[in-house]
Amino acid sequence: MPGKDLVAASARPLVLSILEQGESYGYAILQEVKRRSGGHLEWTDGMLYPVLHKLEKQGHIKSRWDTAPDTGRRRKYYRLEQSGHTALQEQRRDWLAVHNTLADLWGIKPCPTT
Amino acid sequence: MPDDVNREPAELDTLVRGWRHRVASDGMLDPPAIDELEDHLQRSMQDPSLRALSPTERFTIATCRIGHPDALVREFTRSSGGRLWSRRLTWMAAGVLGFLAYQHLTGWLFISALVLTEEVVLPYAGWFGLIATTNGLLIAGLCVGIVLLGRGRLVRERKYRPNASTSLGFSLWVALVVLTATPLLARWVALPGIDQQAANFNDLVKFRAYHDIQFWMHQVVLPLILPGIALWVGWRRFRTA
Repeated sequence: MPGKDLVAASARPLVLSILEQGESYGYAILQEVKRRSGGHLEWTDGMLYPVLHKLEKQGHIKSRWDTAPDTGRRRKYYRLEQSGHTALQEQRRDWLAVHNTLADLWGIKPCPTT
Repeated sequence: MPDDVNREPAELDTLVRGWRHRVASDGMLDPPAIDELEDHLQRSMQDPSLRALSPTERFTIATCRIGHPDALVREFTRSSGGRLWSRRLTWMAAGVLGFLAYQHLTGWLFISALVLTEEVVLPYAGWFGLIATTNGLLIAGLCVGIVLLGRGRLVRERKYRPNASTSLGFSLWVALVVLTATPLLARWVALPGIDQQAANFNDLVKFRAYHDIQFWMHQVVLPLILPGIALWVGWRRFRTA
């Protein structure tokens, strides 16, 4: 299981990447992270929301309230904004640079950077 | 067992309300943020993997997953430092305004009592009372408004205004303008009794009780309240750091 710092650092690109695939909400984003990571990445659920709020404050994502079909309660949905797409591209470049450096050092095939 | 079936959702509702109250008790999280967390909690309790468990057990697991309320508040406040300070300043302003309201109202009550006990009929004393009471009530009303806004009671059901602190700042500004303008206006339009007010004030300072009240207000109560608020804010900061 990755350490707390790595999990915190990866939250931003993970959220942006999931929202790139379409509008979503907190619980569903967490489930998607768990599914995609095969259970290797697990956050304390509540820690996701400050990340979402910060991304919204920075203008990378936008939220709206709607009625949830499963609970009938109000739910906050998030979607990616144009600046979020740009931020995601930057994140992708940075993370791949780190990944490829480590992959090279460890003798693993690097990822394409585009 | 229909009784059990009915009791469990009610019990669950109480548990969720208690959890919500706990998360909201610091006053650091916006009502929409708490709504969002509660929706997460509710959604988490519907997780298929928890289906076989009792509602109370589902609640316990869901609250563990979402994180301890203190940790949640800590995480939220860490990521929104600026908003947190504007909120703290708002609460400090509410404290100062509350004290001012108390001072105005007690001053007015004291003068009213003095007029009655001394059987002195102050000429046009109504104006004096009106000005003091208007200011006192205005500040008290603003203070209550700030507390309610801070607790999210005024805007919770309506569309949330993210810049509520801006509205509060504006309210404080209006209060200051009104408080400054009211006596000036009274002098400008030469309201009957405005001279009497000054004269009677000079008379009032002869009374020992008035001196005592002024002494306690300015030398004891105010110096205790303001550092008290500062200490309280500091303690909250220390607790959430």
